[in-house]
Amino acid sequence: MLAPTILTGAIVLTGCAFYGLITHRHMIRLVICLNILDSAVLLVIVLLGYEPDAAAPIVRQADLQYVLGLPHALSLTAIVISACTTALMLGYAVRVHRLRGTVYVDRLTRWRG
Amino acid sequence: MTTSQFPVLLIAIPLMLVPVAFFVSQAKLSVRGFAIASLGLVAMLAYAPLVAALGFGLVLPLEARMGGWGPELGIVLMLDPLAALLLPITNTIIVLGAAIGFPAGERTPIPYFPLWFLLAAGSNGLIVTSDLFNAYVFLEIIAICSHALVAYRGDGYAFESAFKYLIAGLIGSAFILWGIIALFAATGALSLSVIVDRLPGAPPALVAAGFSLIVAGICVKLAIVPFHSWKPDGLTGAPPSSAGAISGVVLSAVLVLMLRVLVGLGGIGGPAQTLSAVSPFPVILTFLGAVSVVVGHSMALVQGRLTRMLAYSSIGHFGAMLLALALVTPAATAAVVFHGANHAVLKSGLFFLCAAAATERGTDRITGLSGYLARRPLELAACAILMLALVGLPPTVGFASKWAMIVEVVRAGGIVRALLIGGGSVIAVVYYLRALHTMIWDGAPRQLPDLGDPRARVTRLALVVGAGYTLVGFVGAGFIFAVASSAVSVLLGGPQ
Repeated sequence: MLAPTILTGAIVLTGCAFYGLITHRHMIRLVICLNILDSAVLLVIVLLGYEPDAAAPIVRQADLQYVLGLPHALSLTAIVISACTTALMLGYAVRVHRLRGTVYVDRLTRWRG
Repeated sequence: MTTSQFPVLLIAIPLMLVPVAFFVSQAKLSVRGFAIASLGLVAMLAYAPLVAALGFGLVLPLEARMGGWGPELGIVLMLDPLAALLLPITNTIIVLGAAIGFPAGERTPIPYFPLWFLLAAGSNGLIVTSDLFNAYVFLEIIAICSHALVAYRGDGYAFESAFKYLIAGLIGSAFILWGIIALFAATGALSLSVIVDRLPGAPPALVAAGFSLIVAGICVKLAIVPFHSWKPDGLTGAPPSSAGAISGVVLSAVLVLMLRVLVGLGGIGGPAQTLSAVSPFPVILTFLGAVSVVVGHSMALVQGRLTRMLAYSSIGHFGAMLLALALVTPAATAAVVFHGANHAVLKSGLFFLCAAAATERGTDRITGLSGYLARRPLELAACAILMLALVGLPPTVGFASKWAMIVEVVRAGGIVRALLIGGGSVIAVVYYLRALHTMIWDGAPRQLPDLGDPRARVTRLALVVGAGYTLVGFVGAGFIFAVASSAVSVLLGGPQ
């Protein structure tokens, strides 16, 4: 029961993120949408290692059933990457706001030709 | 196959030099000579496998198991002929780009040289890794430092470009991560060699979803139409030397990932038959490639800025490669590898010339560069050769690879594709000749530059290297094509 719920949630979150990315032009909102997109993927990654009634993957007894630890390691890495890119994007947004006076992507340059 | 820890060096050395370069530059010491020398050292290491394989009978691929773990759990680096062919090219571009783009005198808000070391580590890593999640991490390393390279000069336009590029890059990465997770869910493995073995028994829907998402993400990163709109904007505000590195290094590394996933995992023969069976994959790729060729070259025609023209032309080239790749024959794939390697050299060479011209004139508008080449015979010759090669005319290596692509496409029955690729070249003739004409004849020639600036000398060196490769490669085209063919046969798990 848990797995389908989380999977549906992740798909809904992805949809929300793409809706936001398409409809919004505010830089901070774009950053938030990308964060939501990352969270959706993270949910699914953690779900992949989940077993009902299994123990945390720290070996204590040989016959105990453990959840798969690899997806957790992956999700940690993905969280770190997501934090880095968020910081970088926010940094750019601050600089663009300071130097160009707007945070709306569509009010910036229209480079043509 | 040879077991060796050598591939680790290509990633570890530049990665360890990132903090060193950072502290040296913070201490206001002269970081330039040190950085260029170390990047040169890494580049020489990158030449080693190719030279050893060709001259001393080293058997590729080199396999390095991290921490001694096998491919089921650990990360395996695999330096196969594909990597051996592309590593020298990308690393040479990195050394030259770092030397050309170095801001003379002015202090940059972003430390400059650490980014190039990071780019070297990330691109070398992406080219040699055979683990999907590891590839994702390297992809993000490349993305972050290439965005920072777009923005390092610190003006508002550069940050705007960097932001647009970053958003597009992250959407691409998110797709790729979704795809990797789907493949992991289907097979329970992340290592390419294990996934190949387990694919036949995996649920086909998940496998198809995984492949589609990864390829969609890669199409965003390669700026295939309709995911291309970030690229011209992302490169317009960038310093042209960084744009050259992005076109040469980043796109080549992503192309390697695409080949590993599409050809190595599922494409031509073997377990990949599943791929063609479960989804109309080649059809979609063909469609995207055709649209990219048409849109890329036509948009390049109407651009007034040299960087934008080159960026749109890259879209057309990658579209052509996609067209050939979608045919899924080994020979066409080998031609794609050959053309990908050539495109990296040629496009970054032109971007470096553009960097020198834009530094002198303060603009990259083609009209603003009128007469730039008039009294510079060396630059003029190199520029003409590189443009000729990008169009695909003899006697250049670009002709050899484009000809190989067209011949293999026709042999596989894709007459329309061949016409599209040829038609793209015809349009390319027009816009390159127009740019060349303006840069030679229009306007009054101004005074010659002061060659005391070391960057001007490095640019000339880069142009000589690029044009030299273009001419020598034409003579040795059969030889490079043979390396590309062996790269594809190793990817397909054939004789090693």
